[in-house]
Amino acid sequence: MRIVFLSFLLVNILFAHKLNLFLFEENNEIRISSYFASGTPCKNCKVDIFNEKKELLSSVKTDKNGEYIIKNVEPKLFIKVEAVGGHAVEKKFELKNIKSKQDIEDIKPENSFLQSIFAILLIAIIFLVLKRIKK
Amino acid sequence: MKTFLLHILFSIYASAHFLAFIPTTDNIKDDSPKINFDMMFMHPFEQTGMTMEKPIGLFLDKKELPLTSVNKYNHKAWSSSYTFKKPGVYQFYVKPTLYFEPSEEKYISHVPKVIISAFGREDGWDEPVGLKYEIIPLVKPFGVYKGNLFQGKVLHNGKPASNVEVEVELYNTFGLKTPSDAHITQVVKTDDNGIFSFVMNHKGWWGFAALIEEGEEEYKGKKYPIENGALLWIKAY
Repeated sequence: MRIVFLSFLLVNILFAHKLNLFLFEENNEIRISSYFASGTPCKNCKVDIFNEKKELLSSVKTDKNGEYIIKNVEPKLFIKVEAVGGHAVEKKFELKNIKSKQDIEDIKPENSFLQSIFAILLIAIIFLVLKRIKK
Repeated sequence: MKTFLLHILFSIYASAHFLAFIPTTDNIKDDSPKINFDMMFMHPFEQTGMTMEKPIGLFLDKKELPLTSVNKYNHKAWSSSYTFKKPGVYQFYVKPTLYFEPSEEKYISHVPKVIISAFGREDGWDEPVGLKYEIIPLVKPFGVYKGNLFQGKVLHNGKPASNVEVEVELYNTFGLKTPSDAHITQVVKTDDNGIFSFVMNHKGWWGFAALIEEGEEEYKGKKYPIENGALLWIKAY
């Protein structure tokens, strides 16, 4: 009887706690947020990341907020989150504003060039101000 | 003639004015995170419109959303939209400008609210927004089937309001007919704890308007009472 009651309770818990997966992109990264309908985060839940061909790329775990950030992403991924007790949710995600490695490398020198010019200008201004004070 | 006039008068009272606040959905999914709202002053069952002056605002928490003037049911109405970016339960409400109803000799101020679940989150739908007159659902509002019992609690200044009339109407886009005018607006009352119950017997959007007469406003040198409405729109599937 106890086993029947416990099984019934477990089944009820399983149905009442639907696992959700919310994915969004930010700064060329995919941010994973996994949570139950009540808003409780899916802590330390297994995250499997697959490529477009459904080949497993990596298997990681969510943090205490039910979150995980995927860096060095591929444009199309399948993400599966699994909680203890058998709840699982899977979604396909396509990065819309992905920047290729070449794009990122192209941006970097431009940024560092601008930063260098700004630094030289700043030094020159400080030098001029000091010169005036000295006079 | 007297009978005819009485019939006209009865018809006016039979259909209640509602501030209809109808979103395109009450459940936001990944593939369509944008929602549109229609705000119309109307008789929802009869599907007849009235002119709605620009409301004070449409709010999400205390953030005001932009409004666009539109024509609905041959009258001025308002529309807006919102794109959801994060999971959560969102409560939207409209603060209207006071409307003077000459036939009833009173001002009307109905504040409608809709509760929307985004991306699977279902918590917090029973939390008050903090309006002076407000209906708090006692049933999860974005997952109701036709035939379900719906219960709500009417709050006045945050406290349960007993013995309050709650008018209920279906936003009748189905062309339903009633056996009499008395069937257009259903009326239930709150108990000592401010709770009312109603079974929505048809799919579609249902408006619940808890009406509390409080305060006065002057019109052409004479003072008239204000009918304050705490409105909640619920969709039955």
